[in-house]
Amino acid sequence: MYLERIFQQDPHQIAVCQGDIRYTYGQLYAEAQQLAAFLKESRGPLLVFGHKHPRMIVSLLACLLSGRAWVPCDSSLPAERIHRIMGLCGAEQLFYAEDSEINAAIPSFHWNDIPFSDERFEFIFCKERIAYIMFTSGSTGTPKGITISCGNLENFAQWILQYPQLSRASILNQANLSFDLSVADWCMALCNGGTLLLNSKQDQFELARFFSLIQKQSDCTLVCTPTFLRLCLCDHGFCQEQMPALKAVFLCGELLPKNTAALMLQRFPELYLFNAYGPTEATCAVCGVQITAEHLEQDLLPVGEISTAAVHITVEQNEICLEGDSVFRGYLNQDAQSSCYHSGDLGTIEQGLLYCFGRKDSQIKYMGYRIDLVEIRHHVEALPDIQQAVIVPQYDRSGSVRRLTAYLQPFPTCIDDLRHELAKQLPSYMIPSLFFPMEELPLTPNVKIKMR
Amino acid sequence: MDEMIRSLLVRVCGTEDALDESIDLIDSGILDSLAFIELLTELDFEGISIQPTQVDRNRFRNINSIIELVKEYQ
Repeated sequence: MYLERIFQQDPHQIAVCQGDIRYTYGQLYAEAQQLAAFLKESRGPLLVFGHKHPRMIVSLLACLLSGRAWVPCDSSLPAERIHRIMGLCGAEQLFYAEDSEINAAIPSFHWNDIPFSDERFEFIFCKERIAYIMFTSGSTGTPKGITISCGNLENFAQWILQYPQLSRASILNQANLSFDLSVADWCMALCNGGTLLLNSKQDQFELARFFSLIQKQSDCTLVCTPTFLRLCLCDHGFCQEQMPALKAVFLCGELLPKNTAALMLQRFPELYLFNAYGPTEATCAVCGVQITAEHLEQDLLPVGEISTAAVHITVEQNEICLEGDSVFRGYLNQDAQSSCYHSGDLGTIEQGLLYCFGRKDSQIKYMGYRIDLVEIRHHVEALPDIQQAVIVPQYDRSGSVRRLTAYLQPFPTCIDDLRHELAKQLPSYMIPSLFFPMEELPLTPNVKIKMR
Repeated sequence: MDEMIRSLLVRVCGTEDALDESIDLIDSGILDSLAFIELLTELDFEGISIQPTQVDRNRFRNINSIIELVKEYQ
């Protein structure tokens, strides 16, 4: 059992850090036990609000111990969206992992509100029990709840821990905890007794802080989106000579551009560059492959090896299909799915490697985030002054979504107000960056803008 | 030089609004992460190498401030 290991690490080891806040495994367990005792008194999913505070991880462990579903909500999400998530999953309790608060409609509590308890709980593995629920953009205009069971998570843990090149002493996180890429970082760190280094939005905005954190490590893996890696590579200091401790990078969430991989291997010739693939519905990632110079000669980079995958992967009529223990049972409040999950991702298998080249529907990947364009349109058209909206992604030469644009009818007088209204409903990455009158709508839906 | 930076900024942001001095390019989302990456990559290509770790990102909030910054690195 891999998940059990989360609760069996050396209590003196550092488990989670964020800035100056450090938790040893011992402290993590003590707080998780106390919170679990409190959670045992009620039922249903636990909404957790916060950014990168280690108490987010405390609440994850407490949920595993008490058998409640963990529903992480990053504090960057608009309050309206959190309320919607609350309603969708029927949560009746909210835990604030840090000081910031929202005007919640359900009973909420901070760490200081939890009574002391000396009760101790064992982690009991139960395959069908929901471990966490994450929400992604939905085509109906509402976020979609994806429930991941302990059995799914166990299978993911087993898969990712088969790569010793990834399981380093410290694991650097980039993604928000409500985004399922983060499952790779906490799972790798906690199941392996490593240190999880949570990086706040501010740490990432000021890259110097993030880089100096890497320089303080002795042996680490970075888990991030290709977009974030591109940002790091803009700085010439991001290289093996200055960061010898960075031994591996786990990439997932979006297409890895070939030039990003090439530059990375040039700057870090000895680094283990791992490109992974998987939808949230199949627990973070289901396959991956080390990218080497050899792959750079092909048009497209592979996203995983079939033989070492966490699930059975097939391609039916160009669509990637997944079947196995990592695959979820169904969306929240919807009928159960069949055991074979049709991902909607278009792909092909060649010489034992999986390649992915797009979507068959209105869903896109933008900076690693999964977005359904219909959901954005729904919210734009719900604004009082807009009758009709078309959301058009612009692509760069590598085929990645460059930005989102919206064509509006009628065109409002003040775009700032419109942006402001949308920000109350949608996370920032779902708000189009450019707005145009409907008359300017390009005729082909996939506008490729020329970058040079 | 000013013209080169202006046209580069319009190209990476995809809008002439990027030149509007009254707009905060970061808060408005016009200079998003990807535009920021492209801006630095293109400047690097022109021989102007600005290291994100060595400049305050707040200097990218406005066209004039960006021009001033680029000139320091020229």
